[in-house]
Amino acid sequence: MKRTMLCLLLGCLWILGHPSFSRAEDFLGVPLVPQAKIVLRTDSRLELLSHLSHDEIAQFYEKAFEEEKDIRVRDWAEATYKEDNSNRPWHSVTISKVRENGMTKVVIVKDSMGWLMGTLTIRYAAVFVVLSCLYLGMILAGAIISRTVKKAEAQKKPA
Amino acid sequence: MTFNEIQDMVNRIVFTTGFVGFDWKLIIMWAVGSLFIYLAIAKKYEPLLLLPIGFGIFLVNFPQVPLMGVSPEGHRHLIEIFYHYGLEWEVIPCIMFLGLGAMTDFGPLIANPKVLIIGAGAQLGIFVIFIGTVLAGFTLKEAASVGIIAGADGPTTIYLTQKLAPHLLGPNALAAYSYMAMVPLIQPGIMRLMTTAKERKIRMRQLRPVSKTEKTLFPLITAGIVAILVPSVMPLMGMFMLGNLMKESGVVGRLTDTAQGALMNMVTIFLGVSVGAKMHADSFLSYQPLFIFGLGLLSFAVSTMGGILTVKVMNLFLKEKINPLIGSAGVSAVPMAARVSQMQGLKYDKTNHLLMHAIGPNLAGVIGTAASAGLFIAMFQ
Repeated sequence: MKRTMLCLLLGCLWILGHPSFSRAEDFLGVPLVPQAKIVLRTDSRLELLSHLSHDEIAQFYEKAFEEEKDIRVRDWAEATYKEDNSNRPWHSVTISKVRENGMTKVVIVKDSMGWLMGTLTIRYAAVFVVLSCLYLGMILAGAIISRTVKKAEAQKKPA
Repeated sequence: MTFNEIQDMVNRIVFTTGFVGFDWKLIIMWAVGSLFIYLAIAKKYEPLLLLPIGFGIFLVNFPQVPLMGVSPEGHRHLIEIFYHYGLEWEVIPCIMFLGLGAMTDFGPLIANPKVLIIGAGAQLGIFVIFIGTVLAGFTLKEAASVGIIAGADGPTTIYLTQKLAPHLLGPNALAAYSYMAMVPLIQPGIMRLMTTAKERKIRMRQLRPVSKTEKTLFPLITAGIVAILVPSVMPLMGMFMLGNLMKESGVVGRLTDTAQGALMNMVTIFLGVSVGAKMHADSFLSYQPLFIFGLGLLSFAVSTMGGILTVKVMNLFLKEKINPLIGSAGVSAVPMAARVSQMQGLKYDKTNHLLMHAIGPNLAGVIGTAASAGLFIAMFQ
């Protein structure tokens, strides 16, 4: 009986300790919107639904990050996106502008090397694009110049 | 005069000397400054910059010197004025690019524009070092400013660092210029390691002559394309291309002479002293500058590899092969990196002159580094 009780107690503690049951007021250092409902919680992502409007939540995070440096804010058509450009454990907070069943969705994503590798790969490729465009521009200009010179020489010859 | 008055007077005199506020860290900084002055004078390593930088370090690391701060009345001190108006306002790097443009002959690049791709490939170090720096706990902005060192372009490094992480200006500029001076020591080993004896002997066709019209149009085309694709770097590239247009047009000789001579020399003095003066013991003697110095070496090596690898990949598709020894010149360091290619080429074939071929990727590297800087600026805007 004692063993069963102990197992039950440990089981309850494990369930309560699981991230999806966690009542912590922050995720990776990002404060959670008060009275919001957690709909998904993994080690790297947290999704919340709140009765508050987009503007109220945006204001909440604006205040929360008031003294934090290196946080970039993007105002997209469908969401407000806050991205950490420092070395905090979280990467972004996305506040949806589209209400779902009268609720506003907030997504907090953990910082990951995947994002960094992705953005750097794209930017390295972009350097190739810039210099390739310059290459094409030079070839085009060269072709136009040589054609113009040839034309001018041809016009001179009959004269 | 009473004893108390005399004592007070002596105290006041003593308290205005450099003995007050003396710290052992300052002695280390004198040694650092002296080392750079020695490298500039005795070893001729980038003397135009390392000499004023070294002296700047030496000067500001004495207690109570009114050089890099603000007086109680609110007036900026002398070097603080140079720093504020020259670097904080991002003026000096742009003027340096104007002078560099007025000095540069883009002929070898125009004659063989495909080497532009090598200039892009050689930016690999910037992105690899970015990752390393982030893993070491730097912020993204700091990582970008450290990564750009791999581009081996002093003014671009200073411009980007000032924009993103001004507190790292001193170590970043010093690392960039120090390693640029050491390109002949860093690159040859990597070049040998990454190429076969057969590849090193590849002969490249002599470059075609480039007309004046092409040279005059080049700055316009480049400025136009870069302005569309990476507008954030136009303060640098715009000035670079203006300087080059002034030179190639041939109609503003006086302006060209000033840009590449007197003006360039003036801003070099202000730049060197200001960068050196940013390196006070309190900010310099920490793990960050040492880490940046360590990474600087690695970054030049990775960029060199990137340039050589790009040539190897290009050779898979080209009928007329490119000698991979010119790939290492894709790191900017103009014209040092191109000279290294020439010297290495001659080592394996005494009649194979690669200098003019290597100048092309060398100049492409300058544009590539500026483009990378622009992409980083855009990343944080």
